[in-house]
Amino acid sequence: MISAIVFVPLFVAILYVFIPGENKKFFKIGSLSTTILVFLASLWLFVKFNPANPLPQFVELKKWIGFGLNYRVGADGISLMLLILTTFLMPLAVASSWNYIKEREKEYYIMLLLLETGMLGVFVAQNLFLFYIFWEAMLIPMYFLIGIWGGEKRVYATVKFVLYTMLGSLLMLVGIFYLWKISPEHSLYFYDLYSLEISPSVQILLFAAFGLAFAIKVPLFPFHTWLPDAHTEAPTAGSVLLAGVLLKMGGYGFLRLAMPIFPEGFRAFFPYLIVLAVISIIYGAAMAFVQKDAKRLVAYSSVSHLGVVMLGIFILTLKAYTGGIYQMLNHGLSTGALFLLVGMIYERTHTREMEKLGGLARPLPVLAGFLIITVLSSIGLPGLNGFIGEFLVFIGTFEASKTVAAFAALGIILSAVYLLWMYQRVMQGKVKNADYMKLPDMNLREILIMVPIVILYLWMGLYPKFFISKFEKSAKFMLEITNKPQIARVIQGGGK
Amino acid sequence: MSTFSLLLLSALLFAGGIAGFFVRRDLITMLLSAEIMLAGANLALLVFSTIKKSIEAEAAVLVILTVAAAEVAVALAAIAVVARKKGEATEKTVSELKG
Amino acid sequence: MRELFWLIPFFPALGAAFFIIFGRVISKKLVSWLAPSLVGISFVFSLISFLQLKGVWIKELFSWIKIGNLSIPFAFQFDPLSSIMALTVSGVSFLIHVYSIGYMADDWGYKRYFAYLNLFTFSMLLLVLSANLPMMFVGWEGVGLCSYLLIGFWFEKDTAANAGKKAFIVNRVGDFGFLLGIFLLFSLFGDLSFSFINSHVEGISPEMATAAALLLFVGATGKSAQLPLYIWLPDAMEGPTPVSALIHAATMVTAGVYMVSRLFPLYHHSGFALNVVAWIGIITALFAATIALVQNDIKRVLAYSTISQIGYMFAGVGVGAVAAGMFHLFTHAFFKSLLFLAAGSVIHGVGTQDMREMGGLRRVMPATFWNFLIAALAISGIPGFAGFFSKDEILKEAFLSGHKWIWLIGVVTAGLTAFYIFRLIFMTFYGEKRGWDHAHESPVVMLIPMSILAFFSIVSGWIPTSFAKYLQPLGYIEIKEASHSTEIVLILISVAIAVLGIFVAWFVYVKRKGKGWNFGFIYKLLYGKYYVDELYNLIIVSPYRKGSELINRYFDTGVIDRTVEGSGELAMNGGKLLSRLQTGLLKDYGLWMTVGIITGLFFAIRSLL
Repeated sequence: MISAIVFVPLFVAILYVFIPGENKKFFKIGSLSTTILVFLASLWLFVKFNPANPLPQFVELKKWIGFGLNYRVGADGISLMLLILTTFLMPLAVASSWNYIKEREKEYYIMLLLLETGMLGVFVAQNLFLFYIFWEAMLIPMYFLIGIWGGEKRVYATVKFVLYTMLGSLLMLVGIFYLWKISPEHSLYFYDLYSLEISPSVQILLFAAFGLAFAIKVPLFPFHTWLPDAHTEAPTAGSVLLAGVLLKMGGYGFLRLAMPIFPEGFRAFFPYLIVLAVISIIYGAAMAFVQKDAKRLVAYSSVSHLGVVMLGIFILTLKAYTGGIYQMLNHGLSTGALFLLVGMIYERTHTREMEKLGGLARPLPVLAGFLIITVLSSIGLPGLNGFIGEFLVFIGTFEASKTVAAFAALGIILSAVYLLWMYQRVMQGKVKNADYMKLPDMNLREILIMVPIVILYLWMGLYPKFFISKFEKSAKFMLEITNKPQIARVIQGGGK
Repeated sequence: MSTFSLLLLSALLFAGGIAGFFVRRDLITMLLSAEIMLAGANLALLVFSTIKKSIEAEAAVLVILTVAAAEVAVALAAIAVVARKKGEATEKTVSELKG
Repeated sequence: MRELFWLIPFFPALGAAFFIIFGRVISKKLVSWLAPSLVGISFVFSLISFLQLKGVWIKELFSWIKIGNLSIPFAFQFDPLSSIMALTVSGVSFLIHVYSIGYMADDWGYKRYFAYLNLFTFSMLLLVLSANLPMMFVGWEGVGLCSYLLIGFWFEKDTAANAGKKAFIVNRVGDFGFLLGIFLLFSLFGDLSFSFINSHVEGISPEMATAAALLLFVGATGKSAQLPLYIWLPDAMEGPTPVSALIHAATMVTAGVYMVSRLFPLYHHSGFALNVVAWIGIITALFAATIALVQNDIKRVLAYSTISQIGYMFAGVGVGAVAAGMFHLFTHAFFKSLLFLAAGSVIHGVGTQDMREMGGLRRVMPATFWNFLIAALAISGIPGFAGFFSKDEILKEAFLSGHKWIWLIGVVTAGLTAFYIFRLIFMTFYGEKRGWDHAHESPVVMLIPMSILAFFSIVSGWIPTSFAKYLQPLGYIEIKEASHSTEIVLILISVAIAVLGIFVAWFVYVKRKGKGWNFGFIYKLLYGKYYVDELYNLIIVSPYRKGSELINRYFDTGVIDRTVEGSGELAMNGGKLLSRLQTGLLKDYGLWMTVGIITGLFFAIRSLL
C-alpha cells in the first residue's frame, strides 16, 4: 500500500510524458485527481494505523541491489503524520497552480508529481540507502520548478539552493558509506543502525556529516540564506511544498537518523545545537521584521518557526519532542497557507512589495479574513494549532532549562510583531493604487483551497489529541532510543 | 647487433619522436612523430621479449601495430577534414578545447 | 444548570461563527436581532446558574492536551468568583450589543462588527469560566485578539491599524510573562487547575510562589493596562466607542484583577508579590489620574480614568481585600461603560472627540447628560452612588490592613478623579457651544441601555457586605469589621476630597471659564503623558528596528550570504585559474604528459633503488 502511495505519482508522471502537451486541462485535472487519490489512500493508512505500536507498520521488504541495499519502506507514527501532511498539501499545491502556471503545463505537472514521489519516499524509507536516493531525487524536480517557473532571479536561487543542499548531502553520503562498511551484513535498515556500537570520536564526525546535511535543510542559523532566495523565486506551489514539506526533512533527518544513530555525537554538539535553535528563533524573527517583500518575510518567519521545532527536538524531553513534531505539522499548514495567500495576492496585484500594497482588506475581505486567521495560527494564538506546538515545546524546554525557555519564548512576542506588521502593510491602511479597488476577491477554487486548512487549524488547536495520539508512542520510542542507545539493542531489529 | 645497440636505437627513435612532436607544428608531422615514438617502444618491447624469451610481448607488439594502423587511418582522415574546413592543419587550428 | 453551565460562552461563539461564514448572505436585520439575543441567552444562563449555584461546579468536557505528566482538560468552572464575572460580562455585553445597533447603524462593516463583538463575548466568558490556567490563557489571548480586531476595526485609518497592532503586541509582552508563569507553576505543581494550585500552595517555597505570581502578574499588567504596560489602552480608543465601553472599560481590562483574585492564595503565600500588586496598582491609579487631568480628547480622559480605576482594584486585591477589589470591578463595569456609552452618544451627536469643540451640550442632549452625570457621581465617590461604596471599601481595607501610604495615595487619587471627570462634564455639557452645530440626541436604542446602566451605577453599590459574603466560599475572603468611628472618619475624608475635586473643577471650568489654568512645565509633562510612549520608542522599538535592519544588511547579506556566495565564487575562480592550463594545444598536453611520466618514473625508480 505504501509503495503504491509513493509511486502512483511517479507512474502518472511517466504516463504524462506520452501525452501531447496541448491538453492543458487534462494535466491539471489529472494531477489534481491523482494527488487527491493519493491523499485518500494515505487517509486509509491513517485509519488502519495502530497507534499502540511504536514501530514502522505497513512494512514492505524486497531484495533490491543486494549487499544490504534493500527496498524497505514502512511508516511509524511520525512518518505517517508527515506523509499525510505531504499528501494533504499536494492537491492544494496543484490547485494553487491552476491559473498561476501558464506555460509548459505538462512539464510543470510532471515535476510536481515527481516531487511528490520523492518527498513521500523520504518519509517512508526504512533503509538508509533508499532514504538517500529519495532525498537526492527530490532535489531534481525542485530544481526545475524553481528554475523554470520561478521569478526573476530564479537561476541564481536554484543554483544556490541545489549546491547548498548537495554540499550537505555529499558529506552525508560519505557517512553512509562508512555505516555500510561497519554494519553487520551491511544492513542499512534504520533499526539495525540504531543498535550499532560506534566509538564516540567517530560518532562526532559522523554526526557532523549528517547534521550538516540536515541543518542546511531545516535550515538552522547560519545555514539559512538559501531559503529566502529559493522561497521568493519559487512559484507558489513550489514555496508551499518547500516550506510545508521539504523543510520538515531536516528535522525528520535529525530525529530519525542523526540523533538516534549517533547519540554520543549528538551529545557532543548538544549545547551548540540548542544555541543555534534559539538564535534561529530570534534571528529569523528579527530578519522577517525588516523585509520589504512579503514572500521573503514569510521565508524568514520559517527560519524562526523551524527554530522552535528544532529546539523541541533537540532538548530531549517528551513534551518538547512531541511538541516539536506537532509544530512541524503546524508549520507545514500555516506557512504553506501563508505562501498560498501571498501567491493569491501576487496573482492579483503582480507585486509582493508591501510598500506598494495596503488597504486590500477593503476590496478583498475574504482573502483578508483567511490571511488574518493564518497569521494568528502562525503566531500561536491559543485555540488554533500553532499554540499547541509552541506550548508543548516551551513547557518541555522549561523543564530542561528555564533560561533557554525564556529566550525561546521571546519568539511569541517577535512573531506577533512581524506578522501583524505584515498584515497591516498588506491589508490595512488606505488602498495605494486605485486599480486595486476593483480586484476580484477569492473565487470558489481559492476558497476551497483554504477551507480545509482553516478547519485543520481549529481541529488541531482544539482537539490535538486526535493527531498526537497517532504518533505519541513512536515519538516516545524514538526519544528513548536517542536517550538510551542500549534500548535499541534490546529491541534489536524492531519490525524484522 | 647487440642488445645494447638495439635498445639505444629504440631510445633514439623515441627521443626523436618526442623532439619531433614538440618542435613541429603541422599535424601530419606531429602524427608521424608520435608513430616514431610508437615504433621505438615496439622495438624495445621486442628486444625485451627476446631477452626474456617470452611470446607475450611479441603478441602485444602485433596488437599495437594493428591498433596503430587503424588509429593512423582515423587520425589522417580527421586531419584531412580539418585541413579542408580550416584551410590548414597546424596545431593552432584545432585548439577549441582551450579553457 | 449544573451540567449545562459550560454552554454559557458558546452561544456568542455560535453567532460569531455564523456571521463570519455567512456574513455575505444574511441580512443586517438578522444580525441585529441574533447577535444581542445570543448574548442575552448567555446572560440568562449565567443568571440561572448564579441562582442555583452551590459550592463549585466543574465540568470537564474532554482531555485537551495530554502528554506524559502534562494533562490539561478542557474544563469549565463555576464558582462565586466566576459567576459574578460571567454575570457582569454577559450582562454588560448584552446592553452594549443593543447600544451598538444604534451606534453602528450606518457603518459599512456592521456585520463584521457584530461578529467580532460576539467573538469577544465568547472569549471573555471562556476566560472567566475556565478551570485551569492554559484554558484561561485561551480566553486571555482570545480577548486580546478581539481587542486587536475591534481597535483596528476602521482599518483604513492608519492610526487605528497601528493602535490595534500596538495593543496586541504589548499584550503579547505581558503574555510572555504569563506563559512563563504557567510553565513555572506546572513545574512546581504538576497540575494547572485553579483548584489544585490554590489548595496545594503551601507545598512550595514562598520564593517560588513569588516568582510564579510575578510572572503571571506581568501578564496582568499587559491585559489590565497597568504600569509599565498600560501604553496600549489610550491608543485603543481608536476603536468604536461601544467597544471601548465593553472591552476597554468594563470587561477585558479587568481580567488581570480577576486572575489575581482567582489565584489569590498563591499571591498570599508569596506575600511579596501581593505587595507588588498593591503598589503597582495604586501608583498606576495616581499616575493615570494625573494624565487624565489635562487631556482634551473625551475618550482619552476616560481611558486614563479606566487605567486609574483598575489600579484601585489591584490595590484592593493587593492589600488582601479580594472582595473589595472584585466589588469595585463589579460596580466599575457599570459606571465606566456608562461613561463610555454616554461619551459615545456625545461623539455620535457632535461628530468630534475633542472637548474643546463641545460645550453647552446639556440642553441638546439632556438624556445623555443625566446619564453621564450619574456615572460621574458614581466614579467620583459621592455617597449613594455605586462607586462610593466600592472605592470606599478598598480605601477602608487599605487603611485597616496598615497600608497607610496606599490609603493616602488612594484618597489623593479620588480627589483627582472627581476633578477630571467633572472637568469633562463642565467642558462638554456646560458653557457656551463651541464648534458644533447640528448636535442631536441619540436614538432610543442607545438611550435604553444607558439608562439601565445608570440604574446599576447607583444600586450596584448598595450591597458591599452581601457581596463579600457571597464570595466567602472561596475560602480566602476576610470581612474586617472596623469601629464605627474610624469608618465614619474615613468616609468623611473621602467624601470631602471628592467634593473638593468637583468644586475645583467647577471653579476653574465654569466660574473662570477655563482661563488661568497654566502650570507650564508640569502641564506639558502631563499633557505629553510623561512621554512614556516616546521613551519606549527610543529604548525598545527603534533599536529593535534599526538593529534588525543593520543586521539584515551587514550581517545576513553582508557576512553570511557573502560567505556562501564567496565559497561559490572561490570554486568558480579556482576553476577559471586551472582552466588556463587547458590551452587547446596538443603540444602542451604532450608536455604535461611527458612531465607527468618522467616524474612518475623518477619516483618509481627511486623507490626501487
